[in-house]
Amino acid sequence: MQNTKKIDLVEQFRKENVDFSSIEKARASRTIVSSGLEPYTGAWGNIQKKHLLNRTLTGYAHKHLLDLNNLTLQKSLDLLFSPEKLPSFPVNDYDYEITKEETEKQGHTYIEAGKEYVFAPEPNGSPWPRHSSHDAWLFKNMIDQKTSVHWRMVFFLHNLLAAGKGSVKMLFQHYVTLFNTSFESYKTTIYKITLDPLMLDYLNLQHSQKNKPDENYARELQELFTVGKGPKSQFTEEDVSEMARLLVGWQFNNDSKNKLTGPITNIFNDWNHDQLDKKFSTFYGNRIIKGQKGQNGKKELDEAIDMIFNTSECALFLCRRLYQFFCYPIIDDTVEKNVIAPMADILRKNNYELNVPLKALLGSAHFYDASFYNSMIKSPLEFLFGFYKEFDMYLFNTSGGDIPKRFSDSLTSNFYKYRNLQWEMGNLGLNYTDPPSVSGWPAYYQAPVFDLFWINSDTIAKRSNSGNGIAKWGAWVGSGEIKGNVHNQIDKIKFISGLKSPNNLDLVIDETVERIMNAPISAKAKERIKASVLGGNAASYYTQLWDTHANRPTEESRSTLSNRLENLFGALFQMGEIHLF
Amino acid sequence: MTHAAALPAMFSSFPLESLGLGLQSQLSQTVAEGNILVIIVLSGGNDGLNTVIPLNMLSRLNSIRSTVMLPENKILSLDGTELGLHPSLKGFQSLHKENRLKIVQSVAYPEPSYSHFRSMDIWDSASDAQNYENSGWAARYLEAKHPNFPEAYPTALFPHPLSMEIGWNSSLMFTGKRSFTSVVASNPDSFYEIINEFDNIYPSTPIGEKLKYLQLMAKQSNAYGKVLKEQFNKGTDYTFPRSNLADQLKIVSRLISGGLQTRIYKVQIGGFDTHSAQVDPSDKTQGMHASILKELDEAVTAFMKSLDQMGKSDRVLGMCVSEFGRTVHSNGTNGTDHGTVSPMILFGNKVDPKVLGKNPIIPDKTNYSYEMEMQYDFRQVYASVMNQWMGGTKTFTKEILFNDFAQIPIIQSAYIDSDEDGVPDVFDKCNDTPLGAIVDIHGCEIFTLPANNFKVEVLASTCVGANNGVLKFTVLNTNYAYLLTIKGPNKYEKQVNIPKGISNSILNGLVLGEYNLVFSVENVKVYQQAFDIKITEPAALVVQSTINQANQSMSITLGGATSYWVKINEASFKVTEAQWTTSLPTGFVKLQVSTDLNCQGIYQKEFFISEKVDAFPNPTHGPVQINVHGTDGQVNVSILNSAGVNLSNSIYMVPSSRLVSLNLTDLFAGLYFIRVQGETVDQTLKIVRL
Repeated sequence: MQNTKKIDLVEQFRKENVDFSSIEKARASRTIVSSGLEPYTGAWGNIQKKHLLNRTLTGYAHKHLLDLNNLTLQKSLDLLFSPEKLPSFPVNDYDYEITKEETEKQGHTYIEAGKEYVFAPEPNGSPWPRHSSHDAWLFKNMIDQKTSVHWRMVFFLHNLLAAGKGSVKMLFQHYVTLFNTSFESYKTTIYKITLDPLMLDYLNLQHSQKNKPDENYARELQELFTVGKGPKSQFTEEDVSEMARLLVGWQFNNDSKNKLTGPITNIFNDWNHDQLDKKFSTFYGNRIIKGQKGQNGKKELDEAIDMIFNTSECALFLCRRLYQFFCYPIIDDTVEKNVIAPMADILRKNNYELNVPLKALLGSAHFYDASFYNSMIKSPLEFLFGFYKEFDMYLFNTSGGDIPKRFSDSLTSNFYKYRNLQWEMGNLGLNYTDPPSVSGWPAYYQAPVFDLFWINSDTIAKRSNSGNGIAKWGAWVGSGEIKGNVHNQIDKIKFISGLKSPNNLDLVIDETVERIMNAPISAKAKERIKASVLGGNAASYYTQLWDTHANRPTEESRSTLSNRLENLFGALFQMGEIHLF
Repeated sequence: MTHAAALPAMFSSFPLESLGLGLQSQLSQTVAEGNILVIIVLSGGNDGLNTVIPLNMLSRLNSIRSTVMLPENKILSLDGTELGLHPSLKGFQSLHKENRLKIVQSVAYPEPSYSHFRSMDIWDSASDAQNYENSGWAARYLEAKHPNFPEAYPTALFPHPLSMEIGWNSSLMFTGKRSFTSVVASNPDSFYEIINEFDNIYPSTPIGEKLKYLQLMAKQSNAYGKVLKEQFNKGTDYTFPRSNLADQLKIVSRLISGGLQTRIYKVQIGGFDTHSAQVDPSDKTQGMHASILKELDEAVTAFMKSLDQMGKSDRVLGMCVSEFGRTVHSNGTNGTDHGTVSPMILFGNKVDPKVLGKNPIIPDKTNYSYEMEMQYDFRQVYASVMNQWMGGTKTFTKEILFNDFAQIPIIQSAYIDSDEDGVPDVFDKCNDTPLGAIVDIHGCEIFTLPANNFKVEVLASTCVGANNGVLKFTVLNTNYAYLLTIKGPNKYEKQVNIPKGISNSILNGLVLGEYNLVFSVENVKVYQQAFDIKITEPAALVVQSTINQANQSMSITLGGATSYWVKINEASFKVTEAQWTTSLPTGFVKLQVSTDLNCQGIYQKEFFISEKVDAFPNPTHGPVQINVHGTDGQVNVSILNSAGVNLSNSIYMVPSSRLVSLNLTDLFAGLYFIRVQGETVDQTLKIVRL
């Protein structure tokens, strides 16, 4: 088990020597984008398509662009807003990592190789490899996504309703809830997340006591999940404590987690519920929710959710969060008026289904304002998943050593292929499934820095190493049994052979840039990359090398070509522009 | 790198004993800096026969490479040899006179490749022609010397880049098995240019803002960026001619003069692929080859001069490499084509200046594809440079080059210091001290550690029969790798490695009992430190519960642990306070308190909590309404007199009003007890009949 040290991105940023006032001054002088939600009718080419795909997928790849071939904007949106099917549940694909004896010695229920573990009793947390397996399952699903916004919605909700630190059974149930409610009313999501075992535990409702109700969840339900803390959100401290009284009594059944096979169920301990009336402030229209006795106390939650969603602020807050995640983090008055307000109207009229105003945004003149193209910094997720999505990979021992069977076995190979993404991303500041706080990642909420948080002098160097490393060795999988390190090598030659003129280095560079980069790079940069591929030789030698390999491939031509291409991808994967989307 | 070392005996004019200095003061007095290797890549394939000319073969060469052959009277002589130099190499001629030039004749490798790319890969990776190795020899050398690179770097001992490439691209030579061992810089003043266009001014658009920010972070990012800039700024600008190669060597010179402790530099000069116009037909001493050799010569001359001026030329060895030589025959376009063998040129104050190898033989009659015979494998040169200059040992070098390559004299034997401790091999009694170790005058390591270097703590205790015990080990000095041997009950034995740069380690899964721990230090045979520590049982769980029937609550006092599980019927709570209060359900309540350790015991208690029951009017003349709280649908009502005698027992249905009507009219005046019992109710009321 490799432990990732968590990076505190905010702390790191403070240490950097950044003159933020000049950034803010530049922002203030920019032309305001005044277009609104009116449908976009301008040019519909690859630039616009890539912009749309970048913002709706968990990592861009060329294959998605091909899916939009010959599709109008509206048809493209229809495709993107088709829900995906919930993938089959993860199974024990980590059996090589921990024996039955060791599993049981640690107090866990052993699940046989190849069998589902997500409903196994968890008397004592989960074995560590099971955590990795669950994460690997999530990552694989995101990387294998269709051209659909579905998994990005899950990412959006994960950041918005941030929770972590649970056992596998809890985590799995949590992500299934996010996945299953992505296209439903957000009210349903909120109801289910309130009673979600991971959230009950994460924000202490599980341990709340009637005589001293825990206010943690009651606060975040309002401040972070629904109405926010903008100037017009005026819920009070009393609203928090009244909500805490309303929520006390809800728990998940510990036995259903610890002792029983099957999903974790909820219980409502009416004896631990406060039966008195709950009185809310003028922000909620002085609403009184009658205290109910016995199991009827459960109904108060439905009333509370209705009350929250009846505020005008709720829809506005949610649309701001959508806008910041999918379009651009900074919201000025014009955007608030021309984009957020009409989105909020749509949201209210559509039973709080988030996908409806989102679809309107993604088809709007506003979204396709050229200033938004490539205007955000990729999170580690889009940065790393992009490599996994764009390239075919093959196992390779960089020291010429062996490739252990478990790395290639159909049952276990995906575990080994995807598990390391957890610490790869963690190294870059995003521990997916384990957010830094209930607010999610600062890149999505912390003004005025926002997405700049992803990059500091530490993470930029690590991203460079990661990119260069993937270009040269591939993504690390594990050690060989006998010797060496096994990597998932990206198939550079295959990638190049899919280009229009693979033997013309200038065109190869142009087309590769077009495929894997979003922002264009300068002619000077292209010249340097070219020189680094050629290592001081004439371009005709590259053509010769490619043609030789294409006509009569040998181990020698493969190796030589691969070494030259390492320089191409190694340089491209380190360009500043690779971090933009 | 720094390594404190003894006074190198051979440079001292005093007999060592007469210095009258204590050992420690001797150690702190001398800081030897490591040797430096500067690799000059001549890319394109240098025409060796027109660089170092075998004078005894002139007539044959004149006939078969007539279009490129230099006029005999212009060839520069090399005293004491049957060789001449290209007229552009005047500076090299001087170096030879000063015994600072080394020529190794006819260098190549078996089964040569004529492809630039492939042959460059072979030279960079130092693999056999039939093998495809994707790491570089210099990187493997550095990774072997620095097993904790890059995770733990820079360190106090190695604060500077291990190697630097001047230019734009990082080459295979420095691509390791697990890391990139070089820093690429064209100008250390503005760093990392390969990845970003640092001179760009970005527009004030969102994308411009992001690129500008990325650029700033990249500038601030390199672990070595700051120190490189500092050393560069500290350095002196010596006089160099203006050319691409001279610009690169000027940077290297300035970095060395500034005190940069980097050991390997790579610079590059292109244009050696002289298929045509290698020479100017009207004056064969001119042409493309002549001008790039001149660039090489002038740059190297200026570089050596700068090193002489800063007094550091003793520390530098230069080595020119090129992927292959060129054809013995000249072609029809005043040039030469891809060949194989070529002489290698090295320079430096400490080279063994004897020309190595015989002049190549050019037979009378040759066909166009004739290749001269190889005399030395380039890996022999690498092996010798690593062993004699960079501080390798024979086995070490074999590992890096995959094979045993016979050494050839590159460095004068008196200067060879295999373990780089500052004591040359001829005087070194311990010729395998680890890199950076402090050594005595015999080159043997001196080893000490502070008394408080190790700390052992019990983090968690455990129960009999369980294995929840946890030990934590902390080390103060993380410059060493430690091996910890732990012995415990039931023949328990475990070894824990604490690698360099790691300050603590945790061992869990331990049973109850006494443990013996012995720390030893990697590569230090004599040093050990032992500890005994005991993992004990935890205190017993102490629970005191006070139930308040009136308001259906309970307060409990908890002791023996820091975290408890309190279970009330099916509801579980994690409690971390010593004093905890909770509401209670009505009816039978099962309370259970436990901790994560079984042997602390489980506290269990069952009790009954009743719903409230009240009655009115009270006192009464007869009719009484009993208000039964809760949800019971029916209750059993018993009436007892003041002596406790049961007078009646009946079951009543509880209506939705929750009021049960009784009539006590038939009873005498006096005090009565009415007991109401149900699933969640068990209350006894006192009623006064008037």
